[in-house]
Amino acid sequence: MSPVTSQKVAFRERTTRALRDSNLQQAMGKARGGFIEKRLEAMAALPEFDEARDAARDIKDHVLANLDGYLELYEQKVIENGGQVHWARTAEEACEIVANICREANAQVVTKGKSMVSEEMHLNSVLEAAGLRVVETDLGEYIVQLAGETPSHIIAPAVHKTREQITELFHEHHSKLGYTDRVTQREALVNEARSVLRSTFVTADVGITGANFLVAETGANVIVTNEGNGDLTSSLPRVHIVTAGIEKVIPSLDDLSVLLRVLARSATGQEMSAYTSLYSGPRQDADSEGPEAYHVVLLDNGRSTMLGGDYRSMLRCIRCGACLNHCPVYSAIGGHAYGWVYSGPMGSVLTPLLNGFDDSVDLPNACTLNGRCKAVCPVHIPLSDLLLKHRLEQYRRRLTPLFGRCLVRAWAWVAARPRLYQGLMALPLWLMRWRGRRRGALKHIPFVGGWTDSRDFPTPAGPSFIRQWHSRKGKS
Amino acid sequence: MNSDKINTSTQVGLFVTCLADLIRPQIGFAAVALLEQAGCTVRVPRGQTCCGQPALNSGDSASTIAIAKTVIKTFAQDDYVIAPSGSCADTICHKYPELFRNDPLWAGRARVLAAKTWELTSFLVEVMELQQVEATYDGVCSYHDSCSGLRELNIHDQPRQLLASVAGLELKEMNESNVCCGFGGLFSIKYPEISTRMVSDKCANIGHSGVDTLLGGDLGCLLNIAGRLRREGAPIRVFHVAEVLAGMTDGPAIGEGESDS
Amino acid sequence: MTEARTQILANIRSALTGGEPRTPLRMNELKARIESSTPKAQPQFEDDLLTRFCQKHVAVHGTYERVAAQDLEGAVLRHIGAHQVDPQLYLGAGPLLDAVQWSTQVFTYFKSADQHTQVAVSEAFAAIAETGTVVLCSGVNAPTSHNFLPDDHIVVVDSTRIFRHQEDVWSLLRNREDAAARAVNLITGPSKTGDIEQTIQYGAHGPRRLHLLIVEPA
Repeated sequence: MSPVTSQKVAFRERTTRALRDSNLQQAMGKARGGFIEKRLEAMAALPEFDEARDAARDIKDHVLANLDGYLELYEQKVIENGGQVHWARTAEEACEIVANICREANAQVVTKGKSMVSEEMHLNSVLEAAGLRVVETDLGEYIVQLAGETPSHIIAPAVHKTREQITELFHEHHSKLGYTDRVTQREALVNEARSVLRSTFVTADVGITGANFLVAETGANVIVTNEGNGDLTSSLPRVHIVTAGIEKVIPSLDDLSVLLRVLARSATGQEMSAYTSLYSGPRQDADSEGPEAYHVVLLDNGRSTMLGGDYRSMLRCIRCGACLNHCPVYSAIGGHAYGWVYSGPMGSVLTPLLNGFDDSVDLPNACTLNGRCKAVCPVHIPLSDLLLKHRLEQYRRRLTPLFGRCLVRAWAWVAARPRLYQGLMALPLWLMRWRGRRRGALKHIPFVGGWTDSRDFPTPAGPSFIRQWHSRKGKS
Repeated sequence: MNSDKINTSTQVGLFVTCLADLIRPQIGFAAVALLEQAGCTVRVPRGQTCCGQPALNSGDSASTIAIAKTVIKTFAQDDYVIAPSGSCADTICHKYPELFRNDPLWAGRARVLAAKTWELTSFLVEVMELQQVEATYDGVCSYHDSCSGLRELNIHDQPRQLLASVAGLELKEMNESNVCCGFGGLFSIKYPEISTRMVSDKCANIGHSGVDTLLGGDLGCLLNIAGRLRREGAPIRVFHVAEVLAGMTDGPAIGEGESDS
Repeated sequence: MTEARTQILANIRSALTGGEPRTPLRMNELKARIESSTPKAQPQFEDDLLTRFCQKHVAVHGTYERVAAQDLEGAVLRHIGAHQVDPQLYLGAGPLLDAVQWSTQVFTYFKSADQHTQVAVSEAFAAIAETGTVVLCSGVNAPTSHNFLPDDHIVVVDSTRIFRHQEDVWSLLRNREDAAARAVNLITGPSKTGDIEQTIQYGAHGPRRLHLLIVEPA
């Protein structure tokens, strides 16, 4: 499957569908607010939060400025620990590496902890095509897998699903396993998933997880979860594969602590997620358990190119989801409307960079530049500024519609000539005023139906201010 | 009033902004009145149009630069430049210097303009140290925090502080007063469905707050909100904060006609 | 795939320095930064460590009992009795746990947990007052599966090993005499999920209950 397939369905069509999908709207409505309040409470409880954010940004910037060196130091440690490091330039290369490891291990069942990079790779479909059974184990991701969908949020993959939809999905897929009752309560749903996935955890041959961080000091991959699924995926199968973007490396354990302090608070408003685990290498001689083989697949997929340009700061992203939670556009349309793996503000910045500008023209434009994303980012990524930068880049590449560009250019040409501008504006102003004089607002204006279909347009209240001011001054 | 403290009167240029100029001239008069109340001498240069945001947000940097140069030249002589809009002030304060970053000839001039440009209420409170205004408004109001002003210029307390001195006015906060109303300039026309959804949420919050008047510091947002309230038939009046502070609320509110008053 | 490695590193270098190779000198600078790294942005608090630790642990839905070392078995029995769980204990290792003389009231297992395991009793390597976190290291007699498969996870915490900040534990790990543990699990409360309607539900995949037995010096 091509990563851009879903982009081919027009963004507008997807947003229309999303806005009319009552289940999606119901689910998003319930989610709205919760994340925001919890984050505010967590911030209030930590006076050092801003200090931690600045420190987190500085750590990431330092790593990015020395990325090659830290990757090599990290690699050395992994090898010392008995693990193997694989480098992949593209998603295809990374999938091939993972598929080969599974093949050599004679694997049949693969469990996965949530990994956005593996979503970026479209790994599941590649492994399934190779005859493997792939089971997502994060509850949210398991739900979307049953639904044949992809995550709509980087930390809450099934945020768009209502409880009723989950009941139906479980009933449809679990009946054949003997779970014939239709369960509707949250607790019962969680218990059913726990029970179904338990046997998969203990029989899986290969476990694939992502990494929140890769620590150069020790060669450990760090994963942060609340459910414990990532740990079961890392610990029980014969082979553990970590898939991670090259930007995930950090220098030391002390740096890890700073990043952890901002991660959970920004994501869910927790001080610490339930499980923060460091795994380094395969089982050691003395261990009674643990994987026999440990592999790390480092994925570039456009990241090294980002490093050189104006978008380097986007590589600071620690995938907390705060920008999604605070984006009013995301909250209105949900993650799937964005058309690719990453959604919300961080997705609108990343998708054109990783996937190409041509297929994602709408993303940077479907934004009011309200800046809430930038304000909440724990590593100070100027997301809204980067979205504006995307627009400048699109204009340079002539990707936006020609008519719109000409219109703006013509208007701007006039606006740079004040006398002409003031003369030209007088007529339409007078027309609008005359049409709307009684009501005070217009119900329809030609060419801007986008506005007037759902809103009135307040009528101009008189000749322009500049004209009135200077005619008054002239008389006095 | 603290204006007595300032011996020589402070000179300011008013950048009225394109929307206020064309749609709601009264905001310009209100701004002038408030600035004079605070002890300023106000100049309104004729050579002004727009800050260039529509071009910038469309990605057209060349056109924005052309407009920005006009603005820079027009206000070169003023000690301060005041705009009754957080969004336009932010464009001048933060976007202009960035636009001319690689132009040694204009970078300095852009920075000078940026340094002396202020949004109206923050200038009145922070620079002119205006504590109160002489105005009366009989109503319960909520204040919508426009995004650029709030997040880029830290405008939050200043308008509220001045509104607290308006006789008869009760200020009541609504839920999510800091969430975008869905205007976003051309966004509202390019992505009308998303924009409508956002402004409907905003109107719902205004409705739930039980106020009779909505105030804000950016006419773009106010046109959007007033237009939607009007379409929904909600009897809520909408004014720019400067109109209320200057006591200019006798005529029709934004989106009201002769038939309403 | 060495070709991919070479190319990725070359791309990074050309993005950062215009292609200049990384000299041994610069590598040493990075190593030195790692070795001399210091804690940053640590939350300051005045409560004593035990109080803070207990308070934070309870805030994440954990339970605990402060016990004497000789009462560990009794405390384990009280906890599993309250939840009506069979006294079949999967035991980990540690100075306090190793010293317990288990009576015939319990069955003890020294092996990996499986999907039917109900109770595991582990001993924490250390604990963190900052966040109410227990730190468990994998080892010969300390299987990681004990931390995640059972319904009830009971963790013995030596109160003298409760430290202020996370970084204090990193220092301990760096200076540990044993080989570095393959798995270091920082556990803060029982397993939970918010994936259904963004509402917290405990016992997602890991333990439904996390019960600490905090042992204070006699």
